[in-house]
Amino acid sequence: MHIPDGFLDIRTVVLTDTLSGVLLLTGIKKVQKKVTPQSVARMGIATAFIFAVNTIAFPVPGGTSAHLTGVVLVSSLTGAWMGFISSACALFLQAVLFQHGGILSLGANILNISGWGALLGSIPGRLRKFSAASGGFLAFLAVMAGSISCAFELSFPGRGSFFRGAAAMGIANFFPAVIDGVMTFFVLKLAKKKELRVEAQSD
Amino acid sequence: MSLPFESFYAPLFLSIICFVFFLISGIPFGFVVKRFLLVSPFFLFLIIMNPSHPFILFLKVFTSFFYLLLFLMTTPFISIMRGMEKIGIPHLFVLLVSFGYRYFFLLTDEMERALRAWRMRGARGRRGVLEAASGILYSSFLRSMKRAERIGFVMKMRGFHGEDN
Repeated sequence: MHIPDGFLDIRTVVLTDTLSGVLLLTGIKKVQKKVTPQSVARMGIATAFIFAVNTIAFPVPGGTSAHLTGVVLVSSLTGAWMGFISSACALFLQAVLFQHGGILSLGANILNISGWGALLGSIPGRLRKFSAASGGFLAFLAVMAGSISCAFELSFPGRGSFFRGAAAMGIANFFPAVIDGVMTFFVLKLAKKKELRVEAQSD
Repeated sequence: MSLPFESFYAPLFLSIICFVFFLISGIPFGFVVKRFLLVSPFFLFLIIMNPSHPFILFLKVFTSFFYLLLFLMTTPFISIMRGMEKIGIPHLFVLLVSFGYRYFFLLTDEMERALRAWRMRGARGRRGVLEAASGILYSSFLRSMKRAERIGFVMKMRGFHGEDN
């Protein structure tokens, strides 16, 4: 789902980079209002954690592998903005260190992965009753929504059929989404058992 | 990327220049091929989506990818961080990226060690694999957050106030 450079139309690149840039600036401003050494360290470690869980893959049917994205997990435990910023930093690092996704298409990747993950990951924290099952389902949904929006961005002017792209992306990402959902569910279940809720700094 | 779809010679010319730069830089060919294989699944999507000029699109992607690789392989990470600050990227973002870079290898090592130990105890192929792996991830997350607390205290002791200092 990490779109490499060159696949997107220049208008899509400008639009997605601007949108994710505005979202990131908003998030940073919100976080900076009450920034402490602890919150900076926590976000930095969350960045490294998201980056690290992305590298541990499990085989899935079809010959490929799936991994936990960790965005919904971090967002539901620490807050949406913190999850969004940490995940965006992790995506930047992935692009720079492993060429996993492009630099110009970073905006689109941030919207697809961090945007959906943080948006949906913030829901369990807002619910009166914290539910691990809802977190797992939202993690599954975040990956699927990200795949559909990825196909939408790729199909922009003259780049091909959206429906074909969405179907291919949806099929390819179904098992990874299931694994992400199941693992997020188990981790949130453990977190709920231990009553772990890292203090949300950003919301 | 911003070139019109019909332009064939411009991306071809740019890729030839890039190839010359690669030869000068001395980046191992095997490494370049490995990195390019990471992008290859996207070409499958391209074929499925049936774009109007597939070959030109392929050439554009090829050129963009190799220029990016050339830049990243010949520029030290710290220079990229400094450059980001100079062009006005928020200090917090740069700080978090540096943190991520610093602790990524440490966390990956820890997680891989835990997963290896778990596999050595005969966990492979059994039911509840994901549940057990989630336990490892959960403990890694907890350890990470505890480590963050300690780092936060050390940062405070060294005079970090949370502003751009």
